[in-house]
Amino acid sequence: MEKFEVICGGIASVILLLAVLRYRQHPLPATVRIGAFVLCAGQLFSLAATWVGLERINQLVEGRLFPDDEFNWYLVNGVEVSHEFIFFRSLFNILSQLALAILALGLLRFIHGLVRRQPDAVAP
Amino acid sequence: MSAAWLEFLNHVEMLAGFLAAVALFLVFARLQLLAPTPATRLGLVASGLDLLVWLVFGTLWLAGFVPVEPLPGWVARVWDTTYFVPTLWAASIFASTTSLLALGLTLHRGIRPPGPDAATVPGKPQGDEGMHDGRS
Repeated sequence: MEKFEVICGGIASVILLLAVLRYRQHPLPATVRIGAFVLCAGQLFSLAATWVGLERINQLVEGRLFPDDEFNWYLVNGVEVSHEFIFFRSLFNILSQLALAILALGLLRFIHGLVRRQPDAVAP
Repeated sequence: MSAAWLEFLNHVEMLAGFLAAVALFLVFARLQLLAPTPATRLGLVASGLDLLVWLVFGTLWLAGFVPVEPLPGWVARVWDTTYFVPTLWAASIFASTTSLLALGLTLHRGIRPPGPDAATVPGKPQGDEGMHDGRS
């Protein structure tokens, strides 16, 4: 189930990034482009953990931040992972959620600009 | 030390997810009002479902802070209900993926507000095209 979530999120964010980059009708605000890029970057940690394996990513980050807590473990998908793994996974999740919020707020501003431009287009 | 950090990040994760769900719902609501298409309608429904899931999780999360005795038991019962969390989780995956894809589809098709298009066609009446009966 976790793999399904990661793969769905990755594919959807890449499709959204392509749609944002290919949008040529009006100039999109920079925040929308940045948000789409960071949204994709935020999926990288979970995608890497799914692709390479939880154990190998766990070995990479283990003991880097909290060396005193090396005897505490979390269980994710039947694999024991360290505090650091959960820390980085949460950090990347926050990054992608904030990027989505920034993208959405940028789009709201863009749509507001479109509505404001409308009377100019109607006027002769 | 690490447990405190993880708890803090969990709270920030909840807030960020809620903020993103609200912002996405507002975008689809605005798009639906400005230039409604099937993609915006799908996105509005999907982001509404996502927001609903976040509201349920957010309520349980907030209920965890309340230091009243009956509430933690109620919260624990909800968490322990069979298939409750997996169902919400699956709904959240489905809703967030669908809303991202709908946003991509909306941008791919292009956002066309009705006003300027009507204004560019000479002699065409502005406003609601459905009201035009061909006699004017």
